[in-house]
Amino acid sequence: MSLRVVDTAPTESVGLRQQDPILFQVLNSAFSSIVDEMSALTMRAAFSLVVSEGGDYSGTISNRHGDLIASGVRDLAAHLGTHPFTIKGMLDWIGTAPEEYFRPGDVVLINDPYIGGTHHNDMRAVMPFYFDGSLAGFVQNSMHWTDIGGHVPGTFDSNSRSSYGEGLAVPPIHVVREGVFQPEVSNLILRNVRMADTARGDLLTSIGAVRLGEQRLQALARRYGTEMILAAMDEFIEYSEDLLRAEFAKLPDGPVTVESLLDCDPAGDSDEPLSCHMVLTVHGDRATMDFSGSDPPAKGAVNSTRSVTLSAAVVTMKMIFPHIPMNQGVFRAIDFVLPPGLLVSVEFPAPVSGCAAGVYPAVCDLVLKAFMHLAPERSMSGPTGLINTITAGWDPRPGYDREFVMYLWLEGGWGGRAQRKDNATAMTTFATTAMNQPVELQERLFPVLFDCYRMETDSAGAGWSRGGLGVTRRWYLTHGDGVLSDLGDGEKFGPWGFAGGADARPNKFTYAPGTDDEVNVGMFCTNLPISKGEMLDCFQPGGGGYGQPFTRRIEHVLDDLRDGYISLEGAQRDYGVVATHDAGADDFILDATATAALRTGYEEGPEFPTEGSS
Amino acid sequence: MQGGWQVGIDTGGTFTDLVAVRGDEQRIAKVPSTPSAFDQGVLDSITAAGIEVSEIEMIAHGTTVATNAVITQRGAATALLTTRGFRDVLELRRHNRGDPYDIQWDPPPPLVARRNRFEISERLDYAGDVVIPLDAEQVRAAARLAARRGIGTFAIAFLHSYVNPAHEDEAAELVRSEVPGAFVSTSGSLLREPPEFERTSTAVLNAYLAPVVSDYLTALESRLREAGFVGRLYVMHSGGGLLTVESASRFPARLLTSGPAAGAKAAEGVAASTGVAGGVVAAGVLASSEGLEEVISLDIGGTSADIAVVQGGRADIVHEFSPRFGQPARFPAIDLVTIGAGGGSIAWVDAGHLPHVGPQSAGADPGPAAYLLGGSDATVTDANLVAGRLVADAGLAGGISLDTDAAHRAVESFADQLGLSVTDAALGIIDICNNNMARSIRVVTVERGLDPRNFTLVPFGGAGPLMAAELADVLGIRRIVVPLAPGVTSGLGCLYVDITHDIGEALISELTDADRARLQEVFDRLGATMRQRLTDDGVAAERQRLEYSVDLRYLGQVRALTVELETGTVPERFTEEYREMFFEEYERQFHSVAVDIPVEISALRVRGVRRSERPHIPFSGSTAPLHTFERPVLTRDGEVTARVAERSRLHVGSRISGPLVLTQEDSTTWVPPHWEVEVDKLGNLQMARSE
Repeated sequence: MSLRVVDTAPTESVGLRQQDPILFQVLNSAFSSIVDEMSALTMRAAFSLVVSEGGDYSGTISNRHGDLIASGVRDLAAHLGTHPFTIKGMLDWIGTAPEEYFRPGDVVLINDPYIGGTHHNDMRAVMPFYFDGSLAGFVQNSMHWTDIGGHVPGTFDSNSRSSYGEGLAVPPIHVVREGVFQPEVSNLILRNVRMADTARGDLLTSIGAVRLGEQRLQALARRYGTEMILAAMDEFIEYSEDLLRAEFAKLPDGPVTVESLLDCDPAGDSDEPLSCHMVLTVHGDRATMDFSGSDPPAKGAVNSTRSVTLSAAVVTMKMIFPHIPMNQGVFRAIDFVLPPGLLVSVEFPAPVSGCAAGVYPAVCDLVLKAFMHLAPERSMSGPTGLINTITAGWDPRPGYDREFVMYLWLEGGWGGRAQRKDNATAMTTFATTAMNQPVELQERLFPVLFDCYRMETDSAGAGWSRGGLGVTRRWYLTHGDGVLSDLGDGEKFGPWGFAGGADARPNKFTYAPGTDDEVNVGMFCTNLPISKGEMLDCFQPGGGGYGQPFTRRIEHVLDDLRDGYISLEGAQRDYGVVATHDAGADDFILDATATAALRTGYEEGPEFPTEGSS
Repeated sequence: MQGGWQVGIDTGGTFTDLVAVRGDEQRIAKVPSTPSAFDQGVLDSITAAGIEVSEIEMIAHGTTVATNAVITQRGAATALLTTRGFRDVLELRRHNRGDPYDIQWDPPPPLVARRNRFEISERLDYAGDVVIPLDAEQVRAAARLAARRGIGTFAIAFLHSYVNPAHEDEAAELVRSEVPGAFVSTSGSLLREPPEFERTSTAVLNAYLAPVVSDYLTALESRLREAGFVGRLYVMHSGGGLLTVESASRFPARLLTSGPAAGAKAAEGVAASTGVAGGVVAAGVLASSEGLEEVISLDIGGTSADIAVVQGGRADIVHEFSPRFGQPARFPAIDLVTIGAGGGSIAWVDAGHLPHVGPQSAGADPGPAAYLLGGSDATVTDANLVAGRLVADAGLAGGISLDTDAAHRAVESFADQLGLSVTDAALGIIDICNNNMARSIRVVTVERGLDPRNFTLVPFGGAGPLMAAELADVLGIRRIVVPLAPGVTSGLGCLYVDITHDIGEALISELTDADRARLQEVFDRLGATMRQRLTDDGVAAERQRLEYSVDLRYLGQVRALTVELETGTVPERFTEEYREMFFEEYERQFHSVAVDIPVEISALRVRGVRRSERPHIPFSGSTAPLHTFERPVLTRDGEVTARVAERSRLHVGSRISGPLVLTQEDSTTWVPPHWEVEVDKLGNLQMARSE
């Protein structure tokens, strides 16, 4: 192995990017590869299913100021943009020199939402890395713990009025000091959470992940030289900022005002919706995002901290411009106006456990909507929202005999698009990088049985380009009674259509459907008693449509009929296409006359552009 | 039968390569592939090598037939039977995305459209116990409807079939009786593990490929037998091991990268042997005492280029391979990238007057314009001929000769569309092709944080050595090793393959509660099964090697670690010993360990191996004087006068500077002006960039 010796750092005027663009890309990728390697370790070693299979975790590398340097391909979208705020928040909080607080070999835990975090369930492990005796930056791993205490299994409590009802808050605390594990710290935390064995395994995994990252960074510095690595870290940020500013420069100047509504305040006095509001103003090669028109905080747990709102904003920018590496440069190209004390910027102790279902997707929608006006070919109509569901109880099966907490969220449809074919079913925007949890593993780990996991007919918002389909999962307890809690949004407002495209139908969560015990679970349910064998039916919507549905090409409507994506009634009602099913011919037959009559005044739209033409 | 020929045959999209070894004897052959019936090319290659079919002891065969079926979408129309409520598992996938953030990205459509996915009332629980019995009538009705739609191939994937395959097996029988001659692939017979999507996808791919692959292998074997073949026929699988014809027909999804895997195995062999050989040529500037730690394997054939990274002597193995995004077959596979860039890649001009090269290929038929077989499009081969890097009268394998005038006309017609000179057009085609390949090499190196400049390029395939040096220039690579017979290196790679089988059995027990006698019983039983399997494969008892391992995890953890054991004898203090080994491995892989969480056994495994002896093509070097002639060659720096020599005339230790064209029957090597070449003891060309 050859050691690359570098005598001097590249000067500022002629950076590595110009001097050796290949090495620049190698290093940029090497940083991301380190995060990906941490990610692979996390998935393989984690104890909880939502992490090991679902991917509800994230990793990053920051510089010594907390600026985001690198992320990987699997880091949970909602966490990602909060990581720099976590480090910056810690640096403020500790009140001492970072070098004194963070010693080589230390691992510090934090889950405090008000110190740059998300909600209490996301436990972060932070480890410093030192080059040649100087603090060079931080490696971070964040993992959703299935439970972090409080009176509701899974900790999602829509009735909570403050942080104190949302489980255990952990401000910065050393769980490893200079390589030595601190059992008293982990004991304190684990004593407060359900399924502590799972949590302990996940904590172990987080510590391993940041240690791996730190070792890999040391190896990188040995190979390329400290100066080179430090200079490259600065340049990664400049590079992303340059790329984003070049994109802004192509957009029309001026403000775009957008709003998206949450169903209501779960603990409020009225059913009035809550408003997230943004004015996006492009001016030359910069942009301003002003959220100051948003509503004041809710009393219930759909609020978000400043870091979550900004994470939603920058990560959605990454969805609009996917070629730009995600780091602090994306933040730097944008001026944020976000006064404290709003729905989108609450402070301690306002409740936040539902932020990923409340404000986070609403802010994603703001950015998507703004870009539907600015550059529709880069955006989409409204994507599905989120319901966090927790099924909990005692698992009496032989060999289990323990408390269980099953955390599950569903995917749904993404929205129709201006220049592309119908969108697919995908993860919700807070988790674009995540994966679904396989039924076979859920049934092995928890005493449940799934009755179905299917795409729901007629659930997509209709359009020239329709949304992806929504999804239904139905499940029941197999071995005893339990409790159900959920925290979501989108029961009132389905994902929005654009340019004539229809809205998709909203969320629906029902207990014991079709029986005398039927209950509309809604979006804000806490510890509902549920009986063995009674069905839980959770529907997560499809995506909004794009373009007038009556202009959708008839051949696509017929194809959707053949595949059962839409029903005959849906074809007629939503698309103005009248057909019948001919069992003998095993096909759907168009009634051209009736269709023409219904579609009077609408012209059939163009065919979707073919693959690769975008 | 002792002392017969060991034959490696690799069928690519354009050529079929053969290497045969018997003691000190060796033969090589390269003939055109025959895509309409690939078995013909295999037989042709044996004929061309001049060996008696009846004297062949073993054939190891890499084949593109499965890949070809996926790429050309000529797999069988397939129906999928699933548990009621779960027909969308295939389409929902795991939801990972090609680019997780890109809103405009679309997953490829599922191999089985929703209309042909049928839900059957049946259900097992996590323990494999029946919750809802199988509804036979629904299976029959689905089979009938599918048959009516012209479908004769079925995948069946029911929940928890990895624990209890009874419902799947029963449904398979029902389908076979309802649709005589149907091919049925059940998920539990392919993969005894969760989760449902990966197992379903594997079953679907397997069904989709089965008719094509099994028809091919049946035809091949019967034609070989008719010709007097009495030896054993093996097929290379994606992971770089061998399968019997029977196994390959049952598991066609294991063949998705069969051919390219052979190439990567060959590159492993080159990497392993070159370190030694390089050290012997001690005086040369190219000599290396470190061996080749980091190698990029580059196999450029007529249709495509396959790229793999070999580090520490081994190509990376991934545990699943997706021929298209989101369509995994969960079998081990060598980590490869394949792009449509080869000697036959066609140069074309798009609507916006921009030039492109590939991915369409003229293949072997009609082939490049220069073949005079009816092709008129300019290809990479034509461009190289025009540029003077291929020598028309040197002759090609398979008796193909090259016609310079035809190549010139084809390149000229391409040049006219762009308003370029023929010279600029020819060099442009070569540049574009090199840049396409460079981009793919960056994917497997730069995007994984590896610097290609630290790697040695090992080019082979007919066009590899021709393109390698200028491609290396694009990537900043400074060292190249061209194997002795580059055109048939993939055939040689087939002989570098170990026969391996893996079997395992789930056994879930806390380590402290585990019963030693029971563990021993399982290991003994698995070991006996494995010995029988190797014996069935014709592996003599003394060459059989068994490797035992145990899957361990913390109690409550989802996935397990496989810990290798030294023997299949369970030691008396296995609780402590296995626990220690687990902690050690856990620390190594996961960087953090807790000694107070109970450890659980989840499975026992046995791998059976027959190691390849890695035969090499004997090389003694020439002692005759080197004859060269001179000819003009086009480069970006203008026309240069290059020497032309027959490669077989080079001496061990010969060192020559470019510009130089080295011809041999199966390939041509182009050494540009700033490169230097030396012949090592194994006959490899070691090339280095001079300052």
